[in-house]
Amino acid sequence: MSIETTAGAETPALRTFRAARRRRRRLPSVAVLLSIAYLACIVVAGVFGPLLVPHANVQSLTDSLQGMSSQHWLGTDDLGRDIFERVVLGARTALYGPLLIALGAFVIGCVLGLTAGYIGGIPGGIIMRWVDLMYALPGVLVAIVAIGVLGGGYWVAVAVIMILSAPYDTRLVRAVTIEQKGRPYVEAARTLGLSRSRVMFRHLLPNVLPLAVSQAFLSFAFALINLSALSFLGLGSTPGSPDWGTMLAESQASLLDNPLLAIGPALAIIFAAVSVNILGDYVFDRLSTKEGRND
Amino acid sequence: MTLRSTLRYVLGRLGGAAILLVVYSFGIYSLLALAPGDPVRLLLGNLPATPETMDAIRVRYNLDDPFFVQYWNWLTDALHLDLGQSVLTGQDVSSAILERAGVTVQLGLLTFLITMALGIPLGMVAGLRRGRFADRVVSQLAMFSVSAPSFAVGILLIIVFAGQLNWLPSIGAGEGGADRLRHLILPAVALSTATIALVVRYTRTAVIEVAGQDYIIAARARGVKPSRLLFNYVLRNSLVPVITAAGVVLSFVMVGAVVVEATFALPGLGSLLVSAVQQKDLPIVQGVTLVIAAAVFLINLVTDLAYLAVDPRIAVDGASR
Amino acid sequence: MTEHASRLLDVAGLTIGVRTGGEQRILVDGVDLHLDLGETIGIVGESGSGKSLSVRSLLQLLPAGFTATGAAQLSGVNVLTASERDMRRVRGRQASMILQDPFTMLNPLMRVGRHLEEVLREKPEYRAMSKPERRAEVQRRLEEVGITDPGVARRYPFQLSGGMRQRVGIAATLATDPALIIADEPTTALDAVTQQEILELLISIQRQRRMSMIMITHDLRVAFAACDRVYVMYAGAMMEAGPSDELSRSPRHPYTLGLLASEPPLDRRLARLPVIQGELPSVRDQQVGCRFAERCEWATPDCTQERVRLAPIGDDRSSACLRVDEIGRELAARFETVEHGAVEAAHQDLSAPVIVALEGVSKTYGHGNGAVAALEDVSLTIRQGQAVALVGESGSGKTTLGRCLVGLESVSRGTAEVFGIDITRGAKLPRSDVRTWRSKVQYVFQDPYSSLNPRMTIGQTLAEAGRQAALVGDAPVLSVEEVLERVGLRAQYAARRPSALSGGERQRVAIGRALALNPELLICDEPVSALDVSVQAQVLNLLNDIRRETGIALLFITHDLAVVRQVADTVYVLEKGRVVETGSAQVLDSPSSGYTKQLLEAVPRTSSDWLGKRSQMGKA
Repeated sequence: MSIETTAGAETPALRTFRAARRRRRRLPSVAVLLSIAYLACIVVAGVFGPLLVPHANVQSLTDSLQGMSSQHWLGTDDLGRDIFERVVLGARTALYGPLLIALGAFVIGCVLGLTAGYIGGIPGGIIMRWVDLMYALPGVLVAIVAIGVLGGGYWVAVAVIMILSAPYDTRLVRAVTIEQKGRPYVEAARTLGLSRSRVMFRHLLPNVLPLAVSQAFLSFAFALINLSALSFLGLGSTPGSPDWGTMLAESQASLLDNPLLAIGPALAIIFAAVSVNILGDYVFDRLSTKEGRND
Repeated sequence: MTLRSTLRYVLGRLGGAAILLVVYSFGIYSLLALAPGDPVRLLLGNLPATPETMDAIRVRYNLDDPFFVQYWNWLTDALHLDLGQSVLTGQDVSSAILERAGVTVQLGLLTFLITMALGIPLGMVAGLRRGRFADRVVSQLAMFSVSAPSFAVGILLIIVFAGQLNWLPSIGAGEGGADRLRHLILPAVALSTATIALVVRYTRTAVIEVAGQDYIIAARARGVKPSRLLFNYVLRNSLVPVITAAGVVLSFVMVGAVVVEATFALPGLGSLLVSAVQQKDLPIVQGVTLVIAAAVFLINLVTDLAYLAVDPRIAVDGASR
Repeated sequence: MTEHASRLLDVAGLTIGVRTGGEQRILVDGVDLHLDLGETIGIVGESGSGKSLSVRSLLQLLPAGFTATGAAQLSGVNVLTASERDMRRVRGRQASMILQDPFTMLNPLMRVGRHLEEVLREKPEYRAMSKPERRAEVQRRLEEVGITDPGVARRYPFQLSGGMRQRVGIAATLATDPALIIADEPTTALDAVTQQEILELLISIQRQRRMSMIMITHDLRVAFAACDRVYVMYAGAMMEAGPSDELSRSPRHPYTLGLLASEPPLDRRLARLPVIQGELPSVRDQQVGCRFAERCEWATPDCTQERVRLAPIGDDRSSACLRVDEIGRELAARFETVEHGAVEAAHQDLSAPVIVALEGVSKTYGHGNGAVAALEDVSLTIRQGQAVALVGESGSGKTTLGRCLVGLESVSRGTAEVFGIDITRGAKLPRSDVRTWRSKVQYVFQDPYSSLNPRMTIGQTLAEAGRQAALVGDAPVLSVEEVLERVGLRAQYAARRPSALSGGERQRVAIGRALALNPELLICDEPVSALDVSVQAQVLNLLNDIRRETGIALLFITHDLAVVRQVADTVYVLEKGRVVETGSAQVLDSPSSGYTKQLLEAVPRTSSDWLGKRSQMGKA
């Protein structure tokens, strides 16, 4: 196995080469396009779900446990409900909670991370102790226990996971802020006599954003996975509701006899998480292009 | 690196872990107070709520003492490995934990082995063949598997390998060595989809970073043998991030086991915790969380010490911090 | 034909390209060079000249995606097309390479001794040795590069200084006893004094071992002093080649002339530094003809039409200039005027009011036993309109002092007044004083590549500075266009982002941003050290022009004494945080401190006696 020399001296030649590579990568790949398409479906289903499949929750015992057919694409469950239609309904909890968590953690992370990184001092110290503590904790475990004790429910789970996600954003934003604040362009802004908030939000924030935004996509994927895991354990969405995690949990009893009950929701979750990560990578590539960098 | 600075570093880390564990145990204990409803009723479990039984509970759990005194008592008992009794079965929490820990530890070790044995070589190949076909395949697979939730993967595995192909058992932990192993294969694979991807990414990034360093070019220029270049230069210098990944994997496995045990109906610590949470059996919840957290802290500590063995620079920096 | 018997390396038509997004880019175009046994050649060029890529291709060490074509015979092997297996016999045994940065050249996790052992082990005679003999062999090889401390072999690279690491790097490179050693900017990352030591070491080893050497450098003076013959490259093409002393006395290519001329002289102050117009064109817009044509004042339409290649012009010299015969006389005449260009005396008004007064200033980092003093008992005065230079090597505290004066660092002890404001009060200063301080003192940073916010256009950056000037408000605010004009940039630059600008252009913008506040003191922290020589002269001229026009005072922080000579009226020399010498710019002619003498001695000079008395190898 030979070892490729991949970097080395930063000659202008190399820089041009890299820049061109980055430009080329900006064209979305098939995977990215598929991800966008799938996520668009989730958004539409999440927002308009009940309008698209108005009869999803109608029970009909005569139709129970049917196989795949043109009428029921993924068959029906033991109560005779169309599984595909219930998967469509499940997009709602897969969309709203993770979106809220990603946004919340992003905002908290940017504000606290910039503060801890740029201002530091006592507020920075407090923020970082909090982050360190949260980092050392096994997050999912805390979520399980907290939700179990607080008495469950989807929105409780959303709140708990948001609090558990924010430290990751905070730590990232702080690290980038500290790395950027020693750069001459920030010092030059200080030397000009600009106010602290202007330096933070006009100069630092735009340079921190690419990483923070890609972290938000990561948060979304992890929130999606953790929320459905909690529902799967019976600690998130109420049993019986059309949530992908809950549907999977309820399919367990007769899994080997009726695998159709599980396949739809399982693939829906996996593809959603994968799509979000693929899109996150792509967005990061786009945001950190040559125009935004100094090299 | 002096012995003293190393010792100071180790003691510092130990102290930090101990403090974290105390803070954490306080949080766990406070859950009892935070829980909606009367703690007495929670601790009653399925006993009838008569004034006598309620008084008995109050006395047994010292519920009339101030909160901090209660916590102190619980903590000192916990240090003596006495974590109280289950309110539902009356069984000692510590013996319940011991009974269940075996499956979880076995599952964790199997997952860890699979992860490292596949993740490191794949990551290295991807890193060394950056941009080539092998790298693209490995990276795409990693991207896919890092996002796949273990319970969803687990269910698909059951459907395919236990249902359609009927190769492996679907649920339960089995009896005896070989049977236990057969039962743990699917859960371990489900749990390692995400962790393999993690290790692949860490290793790949580390190898790419190291392979681009001047010292690699310089060593090639002076004719260092390719095998030495690979092991003493690239691998050795990629080790720190890989150790980080190993630590992350271990703690992820400890926690991820909770979900996977529920998927495969394994009688481990995770399923003990989940059922205790569902049934509001607080002493068990407190005990299991404390044990898992302690394990995670221990893993972090060992990771930090492993850095020390690998990189002579860390001891110096760590001690002067 | 005796010449060919001693030929070690023969390169003809070396072309290096890279594939980016489907199109092939040529980075090195048709390079010819040759090297005899025991000979030292220099390849000189600014960044982007392709000099590093060219030599790396000789060992097949190009980054992935780069391809080299042409012919390169090294001891009878075509090293461009040889298989990886064959290259293993070439690397180390035939040729070995020393890299630029001593801090990244050694495996950080391997002890110094192991770096030597692992290659020594390839030798049968080493394998036959006993353990103590092996240890002695490693020690002997470390002594060859001037490391006498036997403890060094057991240390890790991070426990050594930069100069020591470079010595270890050289020892490891020599451990295979190669016939050819390639030194890729071996001293660029080092201080001047260390640079001189390392170069002397390399040359003495090269002569003792009768090796051949290729030295890559951006500094013509270093190449002339260290090498028998020198090749000059520009934008991927060879411009000129010839024996060092002749090339240094009579350049036969406009680019070589420009490069020689824009190197500021150490011994006199020129009224105006000669410059090469413009900057290196980007790889994208390359043309068939001479790559230097668009910056060349002698260029004719033919120059951009015809294919140019290094051609012999007699006396072992060659030039790629099409018009070398026509303009030879002109070049010589121009070189004459440069050598005896208009000299300007340093002038200063010592009755002007004092604007900066430092008295016994100290700065320490950390506290207790771990405290490190960056500045100790420094006193310094700057008067209105004066140009003061702060000179020192890395770690001398010169940058710390500059940063204290704009409030990026705080003073630990002593009195420090800037425009009558007591800056030692730092955060306790009233707002109005802080405003005055900020508006009167501005700072230009060393690294032009990160001193502009990459997410703001040039116009936004300058407008922001303008708004800040309006806030303080006593002088008329300059518009963005006016600022751009003052620093010699066209108004269209306002819409561009920093990534679209070259290093020199960015540094102009950074200077413009500082000037937008109408400061009375401009602190320039190594403003030209990251720039190529040809651009360096442009920026130095700009700063001198601005000073003449506005009467602004300058504090010029630099390690380069030749630059000091061109800009400063008064000089302070710092060593390890203390002022060891101060006086008017004439101290450069008659220094009193031993340290200043050492610094002056270390400035590269064209003559070969700079690196010890070096007997010219007989070529007759």
